[in-house]
Amino acid sequence: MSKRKAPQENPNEGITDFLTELANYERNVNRAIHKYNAYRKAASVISKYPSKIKSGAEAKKLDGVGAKIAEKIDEFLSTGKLRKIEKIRQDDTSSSINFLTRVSGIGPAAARKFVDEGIKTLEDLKKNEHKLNHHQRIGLKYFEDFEKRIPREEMLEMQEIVLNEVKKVDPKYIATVCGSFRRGAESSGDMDILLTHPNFTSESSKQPKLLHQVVAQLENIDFITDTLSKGDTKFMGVCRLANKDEKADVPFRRIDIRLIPKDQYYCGVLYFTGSDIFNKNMRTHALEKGFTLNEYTIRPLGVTGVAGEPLPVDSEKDIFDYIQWKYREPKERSE
Amino acid sequence: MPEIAIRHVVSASSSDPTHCAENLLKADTYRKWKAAQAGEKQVSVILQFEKEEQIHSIDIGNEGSAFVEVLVGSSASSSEQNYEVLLVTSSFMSPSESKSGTNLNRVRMFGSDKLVKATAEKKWDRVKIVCTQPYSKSLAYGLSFVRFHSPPENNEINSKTSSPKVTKLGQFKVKDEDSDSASLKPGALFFSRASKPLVSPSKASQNNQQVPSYATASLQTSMTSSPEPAPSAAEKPTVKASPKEPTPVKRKFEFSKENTSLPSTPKKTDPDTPRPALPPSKKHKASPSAPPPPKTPPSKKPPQAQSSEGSAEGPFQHLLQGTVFVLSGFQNPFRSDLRDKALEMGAKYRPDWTPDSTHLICAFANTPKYSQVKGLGGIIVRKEWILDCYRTRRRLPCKRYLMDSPDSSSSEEESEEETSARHRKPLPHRQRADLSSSNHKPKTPSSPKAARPMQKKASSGEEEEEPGTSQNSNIHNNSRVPEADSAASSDDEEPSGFRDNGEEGSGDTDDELRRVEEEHRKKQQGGRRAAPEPEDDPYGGSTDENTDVEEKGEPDQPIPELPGAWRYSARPGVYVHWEFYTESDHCECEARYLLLFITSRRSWGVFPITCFLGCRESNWPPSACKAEALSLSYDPVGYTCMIFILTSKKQSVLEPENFRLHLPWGENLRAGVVGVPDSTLIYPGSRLQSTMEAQWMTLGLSPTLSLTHLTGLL
Repeated sequence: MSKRKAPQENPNEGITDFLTELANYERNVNRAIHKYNAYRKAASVISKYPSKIKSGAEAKKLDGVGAKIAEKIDEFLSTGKLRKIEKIRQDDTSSSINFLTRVSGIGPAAARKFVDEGIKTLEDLKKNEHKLNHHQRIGLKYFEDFEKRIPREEMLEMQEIVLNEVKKVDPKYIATVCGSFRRGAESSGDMDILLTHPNFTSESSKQPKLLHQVVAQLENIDFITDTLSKGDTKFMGVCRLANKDEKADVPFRRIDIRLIPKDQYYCGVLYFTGSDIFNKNMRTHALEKGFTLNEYTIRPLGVTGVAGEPLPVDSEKDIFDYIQWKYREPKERSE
Repeated sequence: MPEIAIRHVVSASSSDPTHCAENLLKADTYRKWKAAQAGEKQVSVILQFEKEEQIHSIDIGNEGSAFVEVLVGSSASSSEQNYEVLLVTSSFMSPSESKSGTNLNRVRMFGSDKLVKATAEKKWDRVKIVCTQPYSKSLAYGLSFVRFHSPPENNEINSKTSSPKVTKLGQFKVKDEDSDSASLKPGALFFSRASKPLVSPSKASQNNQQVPSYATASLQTSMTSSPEPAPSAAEKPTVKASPKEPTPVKRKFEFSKENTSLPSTPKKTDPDTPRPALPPSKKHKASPSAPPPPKTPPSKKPPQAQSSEGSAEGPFQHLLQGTVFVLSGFQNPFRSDLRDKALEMGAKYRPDWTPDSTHLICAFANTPKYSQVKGLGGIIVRKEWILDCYRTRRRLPCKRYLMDSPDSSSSEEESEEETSARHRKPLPHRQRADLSSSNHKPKTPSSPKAARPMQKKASSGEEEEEPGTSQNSNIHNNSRVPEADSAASSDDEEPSGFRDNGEEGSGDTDDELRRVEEEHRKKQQGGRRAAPEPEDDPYGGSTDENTDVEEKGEPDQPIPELPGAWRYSARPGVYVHWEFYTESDHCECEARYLLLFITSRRSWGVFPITCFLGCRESNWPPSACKAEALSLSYDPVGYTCMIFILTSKKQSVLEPENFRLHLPWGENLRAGVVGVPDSTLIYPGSRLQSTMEAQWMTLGLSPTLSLTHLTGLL
C-alpha cells in the first residue's frame, strides 16, 4: 500500500490534515499504531462531514472523535494551529524520522535507526548508501518519482498493459488492480496487483512460476524496470510506461504483484482494495456475526471461539453474504 | 472402521416434536432432528456414547444448517463448559443456498485429517453438535444424521467406509468399491467391477473449492476397475454384500416420523380405497404408449412388479402397508431390529398405542401395553409375525401369531378384514376384468374372504404359468415387462414379496388384479379420485421419509421424462434382481452409450452394493456392453448414485430392451436408464428425478464435457 494517502478535499481539510499528520507521527515516530488508527479514524469521519465544523463539541458527536481530539480541534479552530504539531515539526528527530519513512524500503524502525546514526536527510542517505539494502537504494534512487502520485489515467493505462500481458501468458490468470485505484481514486500512490490462477490453491504446492513468468513477461516489454524483491508469491518492483513523446520523462512507479491461491483470492482482493478503515469496520461486523475475516479467509467462529474451516468464497460478494452485509461496490468502501 | 454407538440424547437446545433429537440415534433411518422453530439462531444437541471412544471420522448429513461444529466432552466432568472442539465449524450451505432453501441435505464426511488432532487423539464419551443457520429465518434446521467412527482396526483398513478413500467429485464423492465386491458377482452376463482405493482421499470432505475434475476421477475409477468373470447364479451372491458393515442395519428408512405423526396420510385412506399398491401409473402415462414386443429372457424371471413399467413400487416395502404397530416387551437391539423390519415392509410404528394403531407386537403376555391393547380390542401378535413376513416376503395372516390364542379364528377375521378391506371394492371389477381379458380368472375371489385364501395358494406357482396373461393385459404401457417379471418371480422368494404389496400372500393373481383394478380405476373412478394416494406412488413408501423430497415439495414423483433421451422405466427391486426396460419414442435414435443410474438412500459405502448389469438385446449383447460403475455418494442425505455406462461397439439402433441388474440390496433404490446417442449430450438440465437432477447439476456435466468424460471411462 502506498505510503502517501491521497489528499482529500473537504470543508474541514485543515482539521483532517493535522489529524493525519498526528497519525503519521504516532505511527512513524512513536510506533503507536493504535493512536495512529484513532487519528486516522477521526480524520476519516470528519472528512465525510458535509459542513464546516465550528467547534470541538460539534465534532465530538461524530463516531471516532473523543474528548482529546475535540480539544485539539478547538485549539486548531481558535488559534489556527496546534502546539503539538508545532512541537513535532520542530523536533528534529521526529521530523527526520517522518521524512525518512517516505523513502520506499525505509519504515519507522529503519528510519529511527538511521536517525539515531545521524542519517537524517536524502543527502545523508546517499552518502551512506552502503548502509542501505537493495530495496532502500532503489527507493532512494527513485525518491522523487515515488513521491509523485499516479493520475488515474496513467493507472488505467498501466492496468491495461498488465492485464493484457497477463492474458498473453495464460488466459486463465485472473488479475485485479486493487488499492485506492479500484475504489475509484483519482490518483494512486502505487500499483497493487493481485494475481491468481485456477491451478494454484492453498492446497496445492507453491507455484512461483505462475508469478515469475508474469514478471518476466512484463520485464520483456520493458514495463518493469527494477526489482525490489521477488519471492514465491510476492513481487515488489518498479515500472514505467513507455515514453511516448520524448519531451517529459515518465516517472517510475512502484508496482507490487501478489500471487494468491484461488480460494483466497477474493478475500485478498477485498483486503487490498481497502480502505483500511473499511476493512476494519468490516472485520468488526464479521466478528459480531460470528466470523473471523482476514486477507486470506473468512471462517465461522465456533461456540468456544475456535475459528472454523475457511468458507468457500468465489467472489467478494460471497464474503458480504456470509456476514449478512449488503454488498458494497469498491468505490463505496472508503470506510 | 466401526461406528460408535450412541446411547442417548443428553439434551437438545431445541427439538421439534416430530423431528426429535432422538432421531439422530438411528442414523440409518434418516430421520432427522430439527429445531422446534424456524429461524433459531443456533441449536445444539448433546449425545452420549455407550463408552469412551476415540473418534476417527465423522459423517454428517445436513438438514438445513449453514454451519455445523462438533465438540467433545466427558460426562465425568460435570461442567458444561468443558467441551473441546473436535470438528471446527464447517460449512454445509452457502448463504444463497440457505435463502433459497436448496441443497439442504449436503452430506460431508470428515476424516481424521479434518478433525482437530489433539482432540481426536483422546477418548470422549460425549459429543455436542452445534448447528447454526443465520441466513434463513424460515427454516427449522438441524441434522439428518450423524455418524461417528472409531479408528479402523488393522484388518479393516481397507474397508470401504473409511471416509478417507473418498474422492470428491463436485458434490459427489467417489468411493472406491470394496475389493470384495468381486465375490459378489452374479450372472455370467454381468460385469462386475472391483476397484481399488482411489487416490486423493483426504479431499473427500473438502469444500467445493478445489476438487479433482470429473475426468480425473472418472479415469481413476475406470483404471482401477476390472471386469471379472461372473458366476452363473445371479441371485446367490447377493447375500454376501450386506454384511460387511457392522453398523447399518439393513433397514430402510421408509418411515419417517413424519409419517407417523401425520394422521392424514395413507393409513386412513387405505381402507376405503382400492389398493394403492397397484402399479398404476398415472404418472407414467406420459411414457411410451407403444410398447415394443416384450423380450423376455428365457431363463430369468423378473419379479412381477416390474410388469408395469410405471410401477416403481417395491411391493416388499408395502407389504405391511396399513399396519400401524406398537412394540411391547422387546429390548434393544432386537427391538429396533424388529421395528426396522416392520418399517421396511411398510408398516408404521407408534411408540404407544394410538387410535389408529392396528397391531401390538408383544414379547410376552403381561406387559402393560398388552393389557391396554387387549382392553381396546387391538390385535396382539407375537414377533414371529413380523419376522416371518420379513423372511418370506409376504404378508402372512396374523391369526397364527396371535398372542393369546394362536388358533382363534376371530382374530383371523380381524386381520383379514384389515388386509382385505382394500380389495373389496376392486374385486368385482377384477373379476370382470379377469374374465374378459384373459386366461386366468378363476383366482379372483368374489368376496374378500374368499379371495384371500385363493390368492395365497395361487401365489408363486401360478405366476409362472401366467405370463401370457399379463402380456395380454396391456393396460400398462409396458406390457411386456410383466411377462418377464412373472417369469422371474419363480427364481426366488423375492417375487412373491413383490406382488404382495400389502395384500397378504396374494400370489400371482395380484398382477392381474392390479391391472384390473387399474382398469377399473380408470373406468370408474377416473378423475374422481382425489390426488393419488401416497401408495399409488411407485416410490411412495420410500420417499415418504425422504426429507429432501418432501421439503422440495416434489415428493415421490416418478422419474420424469428426459428430453433427448430415451424413456426409461425404473422400479425398485428387492434383493436379487431388477430389470429395466428402455423404450422410447425415439427408437430410431442411434446410441452408443447408455447411462444407467441407480440411487439409493443407503450409502454404498455402508452397504456394499454390487450391480451387475447385462443387456439382453441383440443390439446390446452382453459381449458388446461394458458396464462401468461409478459409485457416487452425493448430496442430499445419504443418497448414493451409481452410474453405469454401457457402450456398444458400434452405434446401433436402440430398441426397447431390458437390462437386468442384480443388486444385493434393492430396496429403496431407484434407477433409470438413459440412452445417449452420440450426438446427444446429457445436459445438466435434463429432467431427472428431482434428486437426480440436483445430482447431475452437481456433477458438473456441462454439455460439452459430459460425453467426452463419459467416454473417457470406456
